[in-house]
Amino acid sequence: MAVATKQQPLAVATESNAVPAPTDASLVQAALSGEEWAREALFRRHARLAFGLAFRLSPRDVDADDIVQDSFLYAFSHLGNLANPQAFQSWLGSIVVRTAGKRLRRRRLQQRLGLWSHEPVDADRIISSTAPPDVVAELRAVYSRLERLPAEERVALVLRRVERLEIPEIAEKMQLSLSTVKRRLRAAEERLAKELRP
Amino acid sequence: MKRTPGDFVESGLDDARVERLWQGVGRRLEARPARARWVLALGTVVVAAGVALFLSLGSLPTAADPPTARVGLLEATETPVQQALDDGSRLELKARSRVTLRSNRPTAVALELSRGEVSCDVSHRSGRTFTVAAAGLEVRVVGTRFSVKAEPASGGSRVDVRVHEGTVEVRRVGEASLLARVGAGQTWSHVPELARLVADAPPLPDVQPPSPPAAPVASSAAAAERAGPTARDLFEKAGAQRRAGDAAGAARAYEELLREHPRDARAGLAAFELGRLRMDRLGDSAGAIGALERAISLGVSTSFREDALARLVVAYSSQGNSAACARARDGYLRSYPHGVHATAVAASCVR
Repeated sequence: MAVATKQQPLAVATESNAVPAPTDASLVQAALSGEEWAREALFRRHARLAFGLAFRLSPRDVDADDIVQDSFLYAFSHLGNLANPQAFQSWLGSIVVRTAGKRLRRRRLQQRLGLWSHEPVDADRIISSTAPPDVVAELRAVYSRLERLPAEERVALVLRRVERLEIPEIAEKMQLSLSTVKRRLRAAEERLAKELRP
Repeated sequence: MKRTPGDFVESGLDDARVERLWQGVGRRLEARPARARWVLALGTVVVAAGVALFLSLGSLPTAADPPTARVGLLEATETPVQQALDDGSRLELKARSRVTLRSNRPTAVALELSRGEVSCDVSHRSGRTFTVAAAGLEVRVVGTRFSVKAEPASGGSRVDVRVHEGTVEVRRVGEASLLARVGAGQTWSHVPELARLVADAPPLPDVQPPSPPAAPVASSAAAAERAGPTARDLFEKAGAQRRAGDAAGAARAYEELLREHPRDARAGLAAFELGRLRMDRLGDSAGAIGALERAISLGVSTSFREDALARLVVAYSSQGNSAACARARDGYLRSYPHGVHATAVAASCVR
């Protein structure tokens, strides 16, 4: 019979008004012990970052919602695989990237089969009014043509030009070799350049 | 830190959407682990469960079938009594227990526990309701093994619901809103003294929040031109709606304050008030938890912090979240060992 066991307090209550928050590592360990509140705490702490990344990879609300939910479900189901519990955020980011890639590949297949038709991304709708002009130009260049890229190239391109990750970071997030990432980025840039030529 | 182009992509994510996303994740998580626990209970830990069950229930008969109960009064005097029901479920009344069997149909079984303890081994039947009422509460189950115990306590009756397999829901008799969902291996308790903390708490006086710090000079045109009500407007609006009896309207105003002005000096008090409204008036203990946690983390003033911590204990207990309830309880008792609610808090939590 499962009985809630006494556990080490994750944070010591003090007389000050602020209660110190538990670390990611503590929450991961609590979640691994079956504490459902810890999973919710991890979700609430990282949901915005995860959603932001999912949205930038696939700027459709319904896609981003699904990517975030699928990513957290995967993370919670595989928490035991996380070697460094304190690196939960970075690990979750990798899961979001891979989940987004799978979804984009599925969408592309559905599109080819005529089961899904896309509307192009309205870049101006998603760019903040406070963006400097050079950033606006960069984001327009990427998002106005993103739909035409294969999923793998699209993900690599967003991570490089929107997230400004270095190639080793992209390789780690996508779980690919450095040479594969470079190849995909080159292909994506060539496609974009063709699109932009008058 | 240098900003990336990604920092200028607006996803439009708001608190309500985060909440919906969590609801979706939570539902899918519940669907998976519940089955796993059930299978686990029946599989590798069946020996441990059997020992615990024996210790807690005594042994249910395995040889001869118990007599089939008739509608009416069932009573055990000095020794336990077993009874079978028409739907295949079995009851065991502990010594000196009294139960009224109000309905014994294949589609509906209804029991009322007036004294002692009854353990129920409930057959799984879709479309059949199985309820046990005790001290104004109703335990509703499908395909579960659980026990309900009622005993006199200060201010009424204390009710303990212990679930061995499956899940049960607890409500007040005649009400639809859920008080608790108790899973396998958990025990939920209704302590009258602590329940009155929620039911009888006087309305807070209209407390003046601390003066907010001077607003910083707007550094961008967008910030300077921000439209919409101020935190003060929203706080006053919420107070007016609360006084007028519009709990939902007041809650919305507090939510907007927290969403639009998260760093305002009133945010802590707004979060506390929101937690109170959700808990006391809107029947939303789950939603109250987030608001109360936020109030505490925002540093709500000392006079409300004790109440917020005690309410957290009640809210977590009602959700059947034993670990969080114990953490909140221990936090309260460390901060307020001689506090107003110390006795009631110490006796709380799903075990």
